[in-house]
Amino acid sequence: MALLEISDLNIEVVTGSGVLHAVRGIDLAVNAGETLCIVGESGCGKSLMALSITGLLPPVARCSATRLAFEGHDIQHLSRRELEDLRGKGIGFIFQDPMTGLNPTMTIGRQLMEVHLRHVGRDREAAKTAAVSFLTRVGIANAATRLRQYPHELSGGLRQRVMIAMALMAHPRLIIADEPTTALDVTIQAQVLSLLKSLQREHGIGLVFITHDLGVVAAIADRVAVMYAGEVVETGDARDVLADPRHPYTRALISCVPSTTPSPAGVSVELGTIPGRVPLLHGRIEGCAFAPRCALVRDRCSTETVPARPAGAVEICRCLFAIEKREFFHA
Amino acid sequence: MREPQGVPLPRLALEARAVSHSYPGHQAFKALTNVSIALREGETLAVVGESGSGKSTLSRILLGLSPLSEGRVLCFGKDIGSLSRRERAARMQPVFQDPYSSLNPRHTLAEIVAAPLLARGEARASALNRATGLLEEVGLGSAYARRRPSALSGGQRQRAAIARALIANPEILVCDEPTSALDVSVQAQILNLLQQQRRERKLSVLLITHNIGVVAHMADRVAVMRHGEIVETGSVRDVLLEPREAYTRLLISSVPDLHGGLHSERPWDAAP
Repeated sequence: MALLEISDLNIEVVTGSGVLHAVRGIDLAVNAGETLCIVGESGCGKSLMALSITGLLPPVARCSATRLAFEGHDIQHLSRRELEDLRGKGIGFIFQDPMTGLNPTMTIGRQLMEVHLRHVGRDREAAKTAAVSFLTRVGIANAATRLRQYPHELSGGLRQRVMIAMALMAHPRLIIADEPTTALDVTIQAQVLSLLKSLQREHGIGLVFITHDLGVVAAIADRVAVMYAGEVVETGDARDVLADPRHPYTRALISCVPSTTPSPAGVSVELGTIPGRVPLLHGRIEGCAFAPRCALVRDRCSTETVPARPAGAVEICRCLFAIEKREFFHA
Repeated sequence: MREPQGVPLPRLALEARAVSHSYPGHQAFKALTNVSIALREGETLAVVGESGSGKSTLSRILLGLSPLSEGRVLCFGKDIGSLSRRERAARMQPVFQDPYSSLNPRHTLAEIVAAPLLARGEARASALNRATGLLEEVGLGSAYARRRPSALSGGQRQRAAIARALIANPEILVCDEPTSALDVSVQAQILNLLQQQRRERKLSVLLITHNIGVVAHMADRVAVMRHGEIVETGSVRDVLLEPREAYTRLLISSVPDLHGGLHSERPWDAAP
């Protein structure tokens, strides 16, 4: 049994210009101890999808799914109280911006202890000991002194570590991290990624890691789901998907990323590009959402419904010609 | 400094000599300490570093937008202080990070791009005409000339910002994180556009960035900054493939590389 199961998740957002179909028919599963990276560009629906799992969607968004289950139990119709219990104890959340995730008017210690008191036990001394212990585990020196500090007194890297400590305080089985390192410098990012992976290994936590950075995916993911225009277009083992992607969008996206290894002197390499723009998600999209931008588009692509099916080593690929196009890719 | 021996060096387009800088009211903290770099004519020199390393301060000083506390800045051998604002603008132009705040929201794209020409007294009709032509050259068809920035995506705005920088035919572009606000597919388009314009116009480009991939892709040489100092300078291949300084090694090894990451060992994959 998967730790988290999502089937046919749809999210609609009511905007001034109509209803936006931000997430369309997503199926995903995460196992205990596994890192699933969700990768995609701005506006592809990855953050909304993450928020919907723990019932944190903004009021303008509506979500529906045929199945949304955590440890085998349906979590779609939980009461507010039950959802609050689930958040923290079952599922921890790490946001991109620790400045908005932490309360600026409370000390770090009070915020960490609150998690313990709410989810673990009512003993304040035990809560304080746990807070110090978790801050130490995320690599913060002088943890006892840090407890008395406010978020603004810490650097961005330290604040993100506090967020991670807070997500771990209630011993969750699943952590959802939404771009937790995007605002950080690369040297700090490397520390945070390494920390998350070792804590995950130590506690057997399932990790859903949302990012737009394919380099981060290559570094930490066991499995990856590539999102485009509200759909998951390709899912599979991260190494399979990155080494031999079957969806034209995944392939195009990878070709856009500049390598950190410089090409030999005098050799100029042009980066791959994706022509056109992401489609508007108002109304129904006929056929494949990527068809208008796809270099290998055919007539059927803009009319036929595209099934999600396996292609080679890749678990799921939403492309009518996933197998045939591979010949083109390698031509 | 690691340089090839015996090859005559091209002349210097832009040079900082022993530049130090403190912000008013924070004299004890030096944003830049004894920084010397030289942008050669026709090359792309990347300045790379993390937040707070002083790279944006350096770019503002090189552009003449911040006063100089100590040291000299030379543009084609002339002290930048001796050049008028107009002379500076004719030789070098900036492209900034945030395309959402660097374009005047009340003007049309043609007016924004034509602004440098209008500022030096060119007739409005011909300036707008040239601006429209240049917008097409950077990939924004003539239909965009009458639109305002609010009608554009981030990538389209950055194309307009590049057109504005190019219209007065400068010899030097100073690009401060030109793609860090953009998605990777849009970043690729802007980097390709910058490369193409650099080749066609034989521009000298100073590229400020925190992105090692962008450095490897775009630059001929690179200067690594940390805590307001230059840590290491050299050709991109020398510095990225065989870094000499511990900090450069740390910086490079911290970048998760999509292409390298597929093959290299991930430390956490090893059994505990």
